[in-house]
Amino acid sequence: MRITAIELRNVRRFVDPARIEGIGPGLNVLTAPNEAGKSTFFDALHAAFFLSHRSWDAVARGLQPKAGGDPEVEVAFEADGRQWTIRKVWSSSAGRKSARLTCDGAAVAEGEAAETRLAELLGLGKGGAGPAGLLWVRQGLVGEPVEKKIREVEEAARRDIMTEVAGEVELMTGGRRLERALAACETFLSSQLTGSQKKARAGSDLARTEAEVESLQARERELAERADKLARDLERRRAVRAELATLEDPQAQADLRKRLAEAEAALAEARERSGQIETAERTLAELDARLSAHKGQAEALRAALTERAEADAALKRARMALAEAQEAALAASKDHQAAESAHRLAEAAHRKARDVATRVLRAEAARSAESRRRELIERIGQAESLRGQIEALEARLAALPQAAILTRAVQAHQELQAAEVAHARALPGFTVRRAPAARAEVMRDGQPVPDGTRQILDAPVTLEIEGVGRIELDPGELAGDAALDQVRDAAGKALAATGLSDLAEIHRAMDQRAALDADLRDAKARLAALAPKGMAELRRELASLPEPAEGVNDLPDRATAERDLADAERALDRAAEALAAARARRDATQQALARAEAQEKSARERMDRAKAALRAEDPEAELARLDAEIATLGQAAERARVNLADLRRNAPDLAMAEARAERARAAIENVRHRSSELKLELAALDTRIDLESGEGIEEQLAFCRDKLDRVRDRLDRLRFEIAVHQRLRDALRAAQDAAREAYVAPVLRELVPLVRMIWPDAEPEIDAETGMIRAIRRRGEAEDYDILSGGTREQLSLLVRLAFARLLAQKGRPAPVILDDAIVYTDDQRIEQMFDALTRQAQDLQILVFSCRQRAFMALGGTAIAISRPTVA
Amino acid sequence: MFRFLHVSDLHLGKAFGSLPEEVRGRLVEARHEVISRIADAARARAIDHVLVAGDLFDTIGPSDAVRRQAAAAMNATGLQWWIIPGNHDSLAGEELWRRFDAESSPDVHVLREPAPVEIAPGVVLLPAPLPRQFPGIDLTAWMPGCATPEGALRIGLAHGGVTDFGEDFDASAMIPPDRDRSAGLDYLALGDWHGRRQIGPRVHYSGTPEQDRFRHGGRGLALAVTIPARETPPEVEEVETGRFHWSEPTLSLSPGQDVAAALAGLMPADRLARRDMLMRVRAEGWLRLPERGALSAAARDIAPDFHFFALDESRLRTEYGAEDLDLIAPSGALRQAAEILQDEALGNAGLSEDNQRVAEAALNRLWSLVREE
Repeated sequence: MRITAIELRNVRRFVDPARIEGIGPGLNVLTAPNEAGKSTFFDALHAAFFLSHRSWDAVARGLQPKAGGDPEVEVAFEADGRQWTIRKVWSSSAGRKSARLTCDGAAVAEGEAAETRLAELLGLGKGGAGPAGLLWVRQGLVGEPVEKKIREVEEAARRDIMTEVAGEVELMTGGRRLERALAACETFLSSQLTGSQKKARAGSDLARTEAEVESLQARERELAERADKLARDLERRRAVRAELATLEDPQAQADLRKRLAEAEAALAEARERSGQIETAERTLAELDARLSAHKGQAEALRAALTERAEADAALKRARMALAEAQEAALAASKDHQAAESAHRLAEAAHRKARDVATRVLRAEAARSAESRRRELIERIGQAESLRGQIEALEARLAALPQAAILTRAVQAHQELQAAEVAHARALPGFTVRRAPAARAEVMRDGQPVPDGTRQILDAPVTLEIEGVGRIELDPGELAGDAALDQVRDAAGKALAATGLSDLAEIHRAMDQRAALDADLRDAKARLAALAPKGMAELRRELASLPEPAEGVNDLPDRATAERDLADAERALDRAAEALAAARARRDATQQALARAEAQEKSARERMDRAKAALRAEDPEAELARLDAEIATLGQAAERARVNLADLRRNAPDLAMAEARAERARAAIENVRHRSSELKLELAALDTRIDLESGEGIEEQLAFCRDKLDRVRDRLDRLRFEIAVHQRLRDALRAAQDAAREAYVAPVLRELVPLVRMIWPDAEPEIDAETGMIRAIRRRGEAEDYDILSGGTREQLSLLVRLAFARLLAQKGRPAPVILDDAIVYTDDQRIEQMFDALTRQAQDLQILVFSCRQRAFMALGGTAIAISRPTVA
Repeated sequence: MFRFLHVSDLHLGKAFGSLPEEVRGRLVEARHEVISRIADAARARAIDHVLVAGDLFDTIGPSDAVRRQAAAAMNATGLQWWIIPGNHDSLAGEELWRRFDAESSPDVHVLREPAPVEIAPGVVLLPAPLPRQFPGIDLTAWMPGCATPEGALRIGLAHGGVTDFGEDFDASAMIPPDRDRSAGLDYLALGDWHGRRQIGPRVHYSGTPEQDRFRHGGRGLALAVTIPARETPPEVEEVETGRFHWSEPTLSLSPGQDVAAALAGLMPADRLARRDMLMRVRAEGWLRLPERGALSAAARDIAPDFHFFALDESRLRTEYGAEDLDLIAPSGALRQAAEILQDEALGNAGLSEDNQRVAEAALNRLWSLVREE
């Protein structure tokens, strides 16, 4: 929408009509001094749009002139491409209140309908929650102390922005209605749940109901257990009674007693038969034992007789064998003695032959040592002669200077020669090179100087060239050479050490030494050939050679001696073999004799034992007697065996009879014992059942279960209710968060370029709750809005409105921005930048600026508008 | 001719734990009083015999008070009471019946054996007492083989389901519906079914004399039976003995309906009678958000007339119109939250049925919260 004109009557100082006309699109500026009525127009404009004509509150009354009267405001505006006017009259009298809306000159609504229609045009929406159609920035409270003023201006600005943008914010974020719904959910949830929302809050319905369910469950369990126990007790009592009745049935008891009597009679009979069988068994056993003993005796007697006969035969055989063995042993012993004699003779012959052979060999060795002796004596003599030659040569060598000294002297001389050559090369010199065609020679001391040869100049020289003249060359004072002198001195010393006069002598001495050395080596070589291991070894070998043997002439030759010895050895071997065979035979016959003696002794002893075993005087008669007794006893035992078999046949089973009797007795005892047990149990059951039955356990249980169902149902409903509130809370929070995001982003998009026109590097942060700037971030540091200067806050408030207005315009709801001395605290430099911002926004917004700062606002430009007073004029 | 009252299922001692405390007391008292109301009905018709077809007591272990007061009330009637134990108070409750025998007068007969009893000259009762809660066999099977004096009336007394209960069939139902014919009975008095039900001309369930649940509804009955002669069909008169009327009507709803009027239409006109009524209205169908609010308000308004009143909305769903959501918010965050919840409630968000119900209730709650402003 766009405002085009405003007219007042009976509004504060304007009792007569006053108008502002020609308000155009974009920037409109009304500058007038204080008290010119700008704020009156501002308030009237606000009232025309937002104060119901039926209102007569402080705001409405505040519009009244001091003299009284009904304030009347008419505003002309464009909206949706049409021309509208709203005219409102406020009054203390209901009859005079009015509102009238016209469109393109025709009345379209009166009274409340006009208000509703106006609200729609302003975009306030059906629920009154739409955006305000105008954005207001109010005048600062001039004249108040600065701090208070800033605060109050700021509060007013905050209030205004809330009022003006509240519709938009509310629409977007759900606003107070959503907050109230959210709060209701939170209140309910926190009344039921702990802070973590996980458990029931102590003392809450939920906690109480949960506790009740728990307590009822416990009660139900307890009652069910008791009821179950009671039912089991009743069941048990029926069973006990039934069993007792069975046990105590007289017929059954009589049966038991009868069965016992029968079993005991059968047992007595079985025991008697058992005694008889035992006696018969004993008799039979005795007979069998005697029979067996007699049979044993007869058997032993027979065996002893057999043994005696066998021992006798064996003894006889042993004695014969012994005699044979004795005879053989004697013969063998004689043979052995003969063999021993033969062996001794053979040994003596062998010893003799061996002595002869030894002597023959020894004589042979003595003969071979004699030639060696002669050879050794000759070699020793030659060696002695060579030793003398060597000693003479060595003496001559020793008389000459040592080889090393001579060598040193020769080396020193060579070094001296080399040094002198080097020294000569270092001296100045000259070389003559004549032209090929030259005829004249260069003469030195009358001698021609050869071409191309370097001449040393170690003393003044005069050269003469025929037809040319003389050339005098003077080397000047030549420096001595210390190194050369040193070498020369060393050479002299080396020569002196030889004791010789010159180098030629030295060379002769060296040659003499070489000749002597060769002779000496030759002599030593020959000595070594004669006595490789030395003279001493030759002499030792000579001394060790045997002296020549005596008396050898009676000995046979070596071959005869060796043959005799071999014959003697063979004879000795044969004698030894014969002796060994004789010894073996003698030993074998002696062992056979020992065995025969032992066998004879053993046979004798066996015979003694066999005789001893037959104690009876007449063993054969004794044996006949025993055989007769055995026959008699055998018949008696057979009779006893038949008797026992008869007794055993059809005998009753004693063990079974005993078991049966025992069982019959136990059955009676069991019945008695069981009856008494059951009676005790019955008494206990009666007592328990009696106690529990009067309590109405089942009735209580049925009630408890019903009640548990009911409380569980209540708990379910409560939990459902909690789930419902949780879901609602979550849905509201999610929608609110999304809406805030959706709201803040576009406002920021609009705001940032505006803020940067003033502070190029600033980054504003918007509080989604209030729609206000929360902080400004400059150079990375956030500055809280509240600590910014009054001027800065004032500027920011204005920029937020401008941003918001742009946003509304983009959404197709253009809203005029009305500034009433809104930039009071802004300095002149900054105000230029604010003007730039206003001008920028005014390109697609309508902005009305009311200001008393006439001079400062001249620079703003825009359409100048003024208050006119038609009737006065 | 022989006349008697046929009753069953008194369930003395039932404590109604599933109902609120303030409702229980009068219900418990009414159960006890039913003995004297039965006696009144008998005396009014010059009847001397009351046949109780099982479940005189609610459990096999009622409190001493319940049992002794029942015995005292019966003793005081001067009537002949013929009682068989049912499944709730079977003979397994041995102590109950031992004590009850001891406390009741000789006119009160607890029949423990399935054997004929001559209860009046020429009238033989064939009882089928329950030895335990779930006998698992047809306890009337012995009746056809039971000989009775020539010309004597044969009356069967049993407790349990008949095998042709159709949709109400219960696996424990064992009694053949033609037992009257197979056993030559002049009348078979049955118990266990709390509603009045006739199986054949001679086979009847009396229902309970004091109703105890919504399932059968109405007010409790006794049957006054007259058997004119052997093999002559009995005359059966329903005698109202119950104090409390139990009712569970269904309220079918659809959007646009005047819900308050629809609810009021279900209520009995006699406001005084409502004091002895237990009413549970089962709402079903669909309603718009404001109509749900109106229904709740109408229910709150009407409830105090009744001894017990409940509105069961578990089968009632909410239909959301765009204008309903407009009433929450025409746009913005509130609207967005409402639309998300609506989507969830209508099953468009793929939620479980439980979570759909939660979302539906959350949306209804949101509506109420923003409307409270």
